[in-house]
Amino acid sequence: MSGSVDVSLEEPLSPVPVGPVPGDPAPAPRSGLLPALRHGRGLVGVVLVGAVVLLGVLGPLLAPYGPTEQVPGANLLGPTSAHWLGTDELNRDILSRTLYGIRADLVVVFAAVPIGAVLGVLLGLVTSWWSVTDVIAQRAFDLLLAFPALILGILLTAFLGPGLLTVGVVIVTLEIPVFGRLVRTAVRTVREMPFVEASQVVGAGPLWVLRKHVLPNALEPLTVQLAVSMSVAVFIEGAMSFLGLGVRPPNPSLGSLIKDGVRLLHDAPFFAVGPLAVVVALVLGLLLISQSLSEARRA
Amino acid sequence: MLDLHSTEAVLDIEHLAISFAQPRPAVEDVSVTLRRGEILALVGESGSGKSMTARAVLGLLPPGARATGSIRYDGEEILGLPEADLNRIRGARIAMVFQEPQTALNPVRTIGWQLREALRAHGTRNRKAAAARAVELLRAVEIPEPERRLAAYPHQLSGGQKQRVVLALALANEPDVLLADEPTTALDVTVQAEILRLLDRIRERTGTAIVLITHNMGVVAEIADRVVVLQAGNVVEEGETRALFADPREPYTRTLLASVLRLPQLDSVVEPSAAAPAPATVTAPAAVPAVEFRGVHVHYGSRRRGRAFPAVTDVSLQVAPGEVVGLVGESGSGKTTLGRLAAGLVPLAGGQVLLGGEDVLAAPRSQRRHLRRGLAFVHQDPEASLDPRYPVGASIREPLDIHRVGTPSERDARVAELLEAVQLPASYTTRRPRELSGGQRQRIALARALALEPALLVADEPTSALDVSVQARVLELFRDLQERLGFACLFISHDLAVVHQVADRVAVLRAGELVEVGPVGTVFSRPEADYTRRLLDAVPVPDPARRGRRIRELAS
Repeated sequence: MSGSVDVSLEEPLSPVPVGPVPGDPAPAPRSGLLPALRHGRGLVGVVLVGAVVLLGVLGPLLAPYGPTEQVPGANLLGPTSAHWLGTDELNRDILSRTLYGIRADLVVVFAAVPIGAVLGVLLGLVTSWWSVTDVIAQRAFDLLLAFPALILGILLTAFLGPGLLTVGVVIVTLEIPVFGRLVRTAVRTVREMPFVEASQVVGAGPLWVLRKHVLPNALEPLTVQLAVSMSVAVFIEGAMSFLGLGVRPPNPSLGSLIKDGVRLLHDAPFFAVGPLAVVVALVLGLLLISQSLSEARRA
Repeated sequence: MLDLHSTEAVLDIEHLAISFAQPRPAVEDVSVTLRRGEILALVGESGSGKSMTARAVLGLLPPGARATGSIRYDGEEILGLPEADLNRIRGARIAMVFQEPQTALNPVRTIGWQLREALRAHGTRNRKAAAARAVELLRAVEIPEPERRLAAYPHQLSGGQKQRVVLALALANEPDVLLADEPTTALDVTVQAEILRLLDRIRERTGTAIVLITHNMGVVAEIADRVVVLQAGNVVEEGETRALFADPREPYTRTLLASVLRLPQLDSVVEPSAAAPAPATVTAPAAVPAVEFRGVHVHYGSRRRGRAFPAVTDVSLQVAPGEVVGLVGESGSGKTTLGRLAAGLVPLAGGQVLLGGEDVLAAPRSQRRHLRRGLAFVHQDPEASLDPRYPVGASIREPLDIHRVGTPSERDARVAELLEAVQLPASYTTRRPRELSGGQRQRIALARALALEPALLVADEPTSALDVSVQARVLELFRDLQERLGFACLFISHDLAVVHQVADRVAVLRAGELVEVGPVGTVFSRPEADYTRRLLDAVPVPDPARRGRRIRELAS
């Protein structure tokens, strides 16, 4: 800081070569992961997810009715020009409910999963450097991973009560060990690399190494996992709401809409089609994205 | 011996070209003729296409490669033969030996099983005959107690023995041609010398023609009859070994030969006057050693579980400021461990390590960091020694960032200076490591190590992954910088010629113990320890004229 260090060397020993040096391989720019999303499978995934996100964000503008608004005389109608996806047994417009329901899922997917991912990555990064904390944290992760997602959901609902927040908490809890485990692998491999040793020798502490070397080198597998985890989160929200542990009625979510649709399958077979299509689009889109990302990573 | 070499061609490669999707072909135009019973060396630097040429012969090119031209074995065209027909030739008529014996053998099968498999692959023999032949083969490659060795797994053998087994596998079906791709590169010099002599004897016994692919001119001078020099996929020069070494016609061959570092002849009792004053100045009583090991011990493995393996035993060594000490020894001698110990990368089991006169481990944590600042480390592998995610400028800057030297703009200026110091243009700051060649990466690693103006540099085989001509340039740069900046250096290398080039003093290690220390000139010209003499003897001399004498020496 003081500037007392002499930062000077004498003039170079020999003229510095300008332009390509003999034996200079042509720069081989590597494009990273993002171009994988601009064509083929990745593009399909982006379009699917983008469409669902757009529907969710613009839901209040697009929806012809309110999510809990009851339309007089429209009981369990099939698809009509006034109600594209029909109405449910309480005279509510299913299209409107689906559009609002997407919003609940978007919160879960794009808020809960990243929160879980960040927490998991931080925990995994910090604990896996030292062997004692590593053992403790990894055994705790084992414990969490050993719980089936739904059992954990039921357990947490018993304490927190059903609701979107509970679903969020369950997903965060599930994602922490997944990301913690993944980042641990990265720490284990990267810390053995010579370039880490080189910075340790000049005095870099563990936090420096984790921040400057381990995390950047772990980002690619983490991105892939993020997409996988998001699709799992959609599934978990659906399952929990289906079991009545998620969003509480009368508020809609994709899972609870599918539940109602299944219950009324004989009276209104069209009921679940819309919400199901949205879930399929979202999960499929996320899986396609993760697949193309991981392929780009290996290439 | 010469009557063994008939003029009959056994393998004839004509205008071979191999190309991938890349613009530059891997092999452009190579024509080589191999005669029965001769040893032909294919030499060249990395990327010259020497391995690709050999692989093309057996149809072992990587997917996506297109080969044109002609390869004739015994008059029969074999380039582009279908797999089934190639399998008739592979192993039976033309066999191959790879560089890394570690990966060429299947670790979960015994040596005997692998030999029998090779025998069964060509012509079914009954079990008993195969077993007998396996013993015979192991005897042919001079493995002691062959009957007992058949039941051994690869990990139970040393590197040299493994390479002998790989040779035995290649010889199993008495091939006419043996393609040996860097067969001794992964081995220690003493083992290398034995394998080379074995190859020579095999050739004399069986009349097998050998194509020896190597970058080591010393190896070429030792056993090759003829040499083909390749550069960037083309044959540059071809000739009889002695003639080519004595009078290289092409400038490329000349530079290649000039880049080869030579050791002084052992028996020349010329007192090296250049090396004499150096120790005198550095052993001045006032000087505090840059690093001092006092009876250090290092163990690997847990001592509690009783599996501690001593890597370094009771070594005491000093490196004076501004002095370059070479650490030499074979693999497993503990030379790398000692260097890593100085850098604080391995735990100390006993003794003391003093940096600039202060005990690092006894110092409080805050001071330890300060002591470490005077120290830098250059790693062997240019592939992995730079973080692939950062532009090289950021890598060079990292030590300055860690210690918060100066303002950010001063640091950037310093990075430019350091790049100039290692003779790279300042525009390289934004390049990624993978855009640079191996030699350039090692220059960057050197620049990073010098960023904090260390008092001590630990260099762990900094040039062993580089081609000779690149190695020569990097060593020259290193020596210049060392003289100008005056840092002390612990220079670790298995290559005695490299150490002879850069070091003032040399320490010879064997199995974790210090065998001999002294000024380079003295130790290399008049070694005291038998072990040092054996090491020096084993180094192949890039001078075919001395071959006959050396073989007699080694035999005695």
